Parts: sequence; C-alpha cells; structure tokens
Amino acid sequence: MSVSLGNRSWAVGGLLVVAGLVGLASAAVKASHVAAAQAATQAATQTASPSAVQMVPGGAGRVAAKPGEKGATYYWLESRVRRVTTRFADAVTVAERATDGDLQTRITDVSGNELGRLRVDRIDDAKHVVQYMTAKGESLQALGQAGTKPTLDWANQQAYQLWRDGVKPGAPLEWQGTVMRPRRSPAHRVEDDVLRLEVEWQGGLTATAERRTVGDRTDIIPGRVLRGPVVITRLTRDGVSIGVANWFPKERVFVWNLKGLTSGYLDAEILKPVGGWTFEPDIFWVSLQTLAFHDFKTQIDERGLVAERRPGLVEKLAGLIEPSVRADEPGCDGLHWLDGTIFRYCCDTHDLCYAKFGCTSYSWWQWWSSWQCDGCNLGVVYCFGGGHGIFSPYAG
Amino acid sequence: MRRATALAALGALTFVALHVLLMATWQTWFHGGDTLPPWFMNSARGLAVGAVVFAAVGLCVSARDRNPAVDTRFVSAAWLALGALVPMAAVLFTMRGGPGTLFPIAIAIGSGIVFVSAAAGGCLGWAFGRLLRRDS
Repeated sequence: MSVSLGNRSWAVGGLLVVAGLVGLASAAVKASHVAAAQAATQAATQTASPSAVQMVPGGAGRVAAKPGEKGATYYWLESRVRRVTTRFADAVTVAERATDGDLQTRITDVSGNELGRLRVDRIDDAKHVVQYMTAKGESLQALGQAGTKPTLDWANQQAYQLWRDGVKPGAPLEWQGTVMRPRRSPAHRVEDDVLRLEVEWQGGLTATAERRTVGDRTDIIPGRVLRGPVVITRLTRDGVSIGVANWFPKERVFVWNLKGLTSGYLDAEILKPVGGWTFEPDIFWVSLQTLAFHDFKTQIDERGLVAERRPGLVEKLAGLIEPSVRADEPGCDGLHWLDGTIFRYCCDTHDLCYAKFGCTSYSWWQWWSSWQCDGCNLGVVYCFGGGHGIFSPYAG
Repeated sequence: MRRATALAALGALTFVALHVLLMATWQTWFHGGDTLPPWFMNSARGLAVGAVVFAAVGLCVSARDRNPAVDTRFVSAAWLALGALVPMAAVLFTMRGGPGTLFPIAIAIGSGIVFVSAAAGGCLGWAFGRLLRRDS
C-alpha cells in the first residue's frame, strides 16, 4: 500500500478494492454463522434482501466483536483518556487528544529533544489520515488502516516505530499488524519495547504500568503460585496511590486491588462462561481496565446501580449489634482456599445473585424475607453439591 | 458424659490455639496478605495445618482410649468437631469483613474437615494400638 502524497489516489483505489473484498468475505462468513444458528430457509430469506433485519436467534450467545479486536466499550473508555505517555529505552512519546477528537503525538529522546511528530486526522468513524513529520521537517501522509480505530496508545507506538525505522517521505510502506512500517522490514512487535506507560484520565486519575519479572508469589491469590513476567499498573489520584493491578501474561491471570472499592482476579477458568480471553491483553489494556474498574465501581457505589434491599426495624437493630454481617468479598467468603478451584464459579454466581436481588447474609436465616434470595442460597448449596448452579448471572 | 464434655472442650481449645497461631503467622507462614483476614479456610496452607493439628489431637485422644472398638474413635472425633464448632462460628462472625455470604456452608465444611481429620487421626491411633498389642 503506497502512502506518499503523489500516490494517494492509487492508495484510496486500492483500499476501496481491498475493503470491498473484505466486505464480501465477511458477509459470506456472517451468513454462514446465521445459517448455522437458524433454519436454513429463514436465513436465506433474511440475507437475500439488503433491507431485511438480521435477527439474532435466542440462545445464540453474546454477539462478539471482531476476533482479535476490542469491543465498543473499550473504545468508549479510551476516548476518555486525556494523555498517554509511553517510555521506550531510547525515546518518549506523548499522545494527546485534541478538542475535535484528532490525536497528536510528540516524540522526544530521553533528554527531551524533539525527534518527530505524528498526527491522526479523523475523517469519519471508519477513516483517518496519518501525518508524520521528522525533526528535520520531512513529512509523509497516509490513509489509516481500514476498519481500525486509532487510539492514543497506538499513535505513540506508530510514531515511535516510524522514527525507529527512519522513515523518509516517498518510502514504500506496508502494514505489519496494525503498525505501518517500511516494506519488507523484519517482523517486530513495538508493544514489547514499551518500558513504562502513563495513562492520564479524567478527575486526576493516572494509571502507570511497568513490566517486571517476579519469582514465586503465593500471596497474590491464596493457594496459587504466580511467577514470571508481569505488567504492574499502579492507580493514583492526584499523586496518591489508590490501587494496583497485575497482569501475568504467562499464566493469563489479571489481579486487581483498588482500596475500598474492589479486588479480585480473572483467569481463563473464570471467564469460561463468556469464552475465556477472547483477545490478547496488552500493557495499555491493563491500565485502561484498571481505570474502568475504578470508574464503574465508583459509579455503582454512588448511584446504587445494583439493587439494594431496604432493611426493616429489626434488621437495623441487629445491624447495630453485628454491622459486619453484610460484608461481601469477591470469591468464596470464608472459604478462600477454594478461590482457585472449580467451586469459585459457585461463589461468584452466588455473589452476583445476591447483588441482583439485593440479598445480604441475613437472607440465610430470614428465609421468609425473599424467595429470590432463598433461590440464590439453594443454588449455591446445589452448586457445591456438584450441580452447575440454578441462577445464571448471564441471563435476565 | 464427662468424657464427651472434656472432648468438646479439647476441640474448642484446639481451634482457639490454631486460630491464635494463624493470627500470629498469617503474613509470614500463610502469605495471607492484607486483603484476607486470618482464618484457617482462607488459605490452602492454613487448611492443611488445621487438618494436621486436629488429626494429631485425634491420634492422641485415640492413644488414650482403651476401648478396642474403632467406633469410639468416630464418636470422639464428633465431640471434638462439636467443640471446635463454637469458637469456629465465633471467629467467623467477629473477624474483619464479617462472616460473608456463604457462612453456613463455611461452618458446615469447616466442621466436616475437623471431624474427618480428627477421625483419621483417631483411626490411625487405633491401628497403631492394634499393631502394638499384636506385637506384645
């Protein structure tokens, strides 16, 4: 794919042809999925007419995003990031979002001398133009990769890669994954070069991620050994530490602890009901996910998005004697040695059931107060007894 | 009846001693961290230590039992578990974070573990006793 200004029309034409072919291919794949889920005749009728509404049959599960890409929530969260600073061994890139949504990145060496700039001009939701300028004032302009959404983190990595490759105007470029590089460059994952990442959010929140390697750690998840490379993200508000999150790529475990808000972990086993890890988490995702946990949980606490049962007089009096009886922790309360086992599913399902119906620990003995809470408790007993749980958190 | 009361008291004392040990060594031996309070079922290692302690107590009780029938070891284990149940529930309800949303299951499983461990220790003591008697 050519990128110089002179060949731009060829690039646009080429892209349209490629986009057309990709569109035809994806339509064919989509049609085959629908056909598998529905009756063949019904699917044929619905795909034949372009104006027909494409139905998603009941029980077909969640409609996933494009494999290997993050979903809409990810990009919505990313749009709330103000600034991303990426530190490499030999350079620092700082990306900021302009008021019109365009992205601007400045590359400097470790001493602060400017090495280049990159600008992403968003044309519409699907198209954008990438402009790169070296410190000498040489510039090039290219159409962004079709169908991808540029993020601040991507802009930093792209700017760094173009500077590392010493790209000059007129040089033929090609896409290696999502990064533009000189044609026939040896394969290289620029994400692996990131030493440190600072993601600045609204409200003075900053997530700082670093790569480390740790020996055997058994204190993070009781009864489980975590070791090897780890991405450690520290969350601060106005410089004060408010939480930490770790991503262990080898074990594929994400652990977080945001003081007074939420703590827990996710692994492939826990994510099994939603298809496991459907994408490869990177250092930016770890930071964004940590910020998202903080944002969502703060909102839930403030707005009460989760149903809450109002206690009666007797319950309030009992609460004075034993206020801690309402406490709920992620995982198996009082049985955390089971957190890494198959029983974790029972406990998490029970917690979700409690949250959904506003139950508390009282629900165990005040069985007459809510049959829904009784259902949660019966469900967890059944689940512990070898069943798969009556309550499904993914339904209703 | 006096023997049953003594066994229940022994079970309660053993659990209290186990919990004191857990509190004192939670960070160093059990790697409990700050997020979880000291509690024998909050860590696999804590659970193992609890099981070993109650098995040892069951073995000692069994060694002092002159009755040749193995059934009495199970009865002793049941009294030990019943005694341990009282401080177990007290600790669960008063520890940081409260009893949690699964406390009846936690108490049931905890009691079961104490009973099985004490019974296993009791049976081991009974088997050793039989072997020794056969040799002599």
